[in-house]
Amino acid sequence: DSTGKGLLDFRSHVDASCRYSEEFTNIYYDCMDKKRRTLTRLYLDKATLVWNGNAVSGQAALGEFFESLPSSEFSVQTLDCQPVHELATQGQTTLLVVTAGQVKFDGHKQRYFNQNFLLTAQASPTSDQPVWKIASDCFRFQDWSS
Amino acid sequence: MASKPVWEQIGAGFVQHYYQQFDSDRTKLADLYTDASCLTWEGVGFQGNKAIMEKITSLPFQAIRHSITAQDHQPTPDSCVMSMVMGQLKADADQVMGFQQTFLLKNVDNKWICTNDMFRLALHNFGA
Repeated sequence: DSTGKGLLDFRSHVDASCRYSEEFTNIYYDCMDKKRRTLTRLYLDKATLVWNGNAVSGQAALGEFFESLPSSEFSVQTLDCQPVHELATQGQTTLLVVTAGQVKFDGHKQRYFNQNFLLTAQASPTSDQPVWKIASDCFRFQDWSS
Repeated sequence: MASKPVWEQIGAGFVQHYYQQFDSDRTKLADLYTDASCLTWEGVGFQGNKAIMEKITSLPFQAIRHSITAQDHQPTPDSCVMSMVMGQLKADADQVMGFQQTFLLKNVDNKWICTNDMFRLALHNFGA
C-alpha cells in the first residue's frame, strides 16, 4: 500500500540526508577549530547566525565575528538531522541539523553547547552534486542559571 | 520602544502554547503536526501526525512540567520560523533535567504548524 512505500522513501531520504549531515558537521567544526578564516565559505551570502542571542548577518559581519572568537576545540556528542519537507521549502532541498556537545574556547573553561543549522542545497557550476550552504545558524551555551 | 520582529512573536507564541499544552494535556498537540511533519525524539525518528502523536502520548510519565531558560527564533529564506529552545523539565518524581528542542514552523491555512521537531535531553547536565 502507498503508506508503506511512502515510509520507505522517507526513511531512505532521511538516511541519505543524515549521511551528508555527518560529513557537513565534520567539515564545519574542523573549519571552526583549524581553518577559521575559511568558515564563512560555508554560509550563504545572506545567512544569519544567532550566537547566544546576538544576531550576525551576512558574509562581512560573519567574517568579523568569527575572527573575534578565540580559538576553539569542539567535540560533538549528538547529531540529529531531518530533511525539511517540500511543503516548508517550496522545492528547495533543505536539511535541519541539530548538534550538541562541548567546546573549549581559548582562555575560557570548557562548556556544553547546542547548535542548529538550516542547510540548503545550491546547484554547483562544476559538479552535478549540489553544494550545501548554511542559511541559518543558531548557537547557545547550555546554561540553566536563568 | 521597538516591538519584537514578527518571527520572534510567532516563535515565542508557538513555544508558549506548545509547552503549555504538553504540560496540561499533550493529546491536544495533535493540531500542531500534519502528515508531512517529522519528529526526532532522543535520536529516533517519527513521521506524520499519527506516529508523532503515538510517540508523544505514550511517553512514560503522568505529570510533566517544562520551564524555558532560553529561546531563539529566526526567519528562514522561505517564510518559515526556526526556533531553538533550551530549558529544564521535571517528569513525575524524577529529578530535573535539561533539554534542547528545535522546531521549524510553517504557516499553513493561516495556522502555524510544526513541520520539523527535534528533542534531546541534556543527560550529562542535570539541573541544580
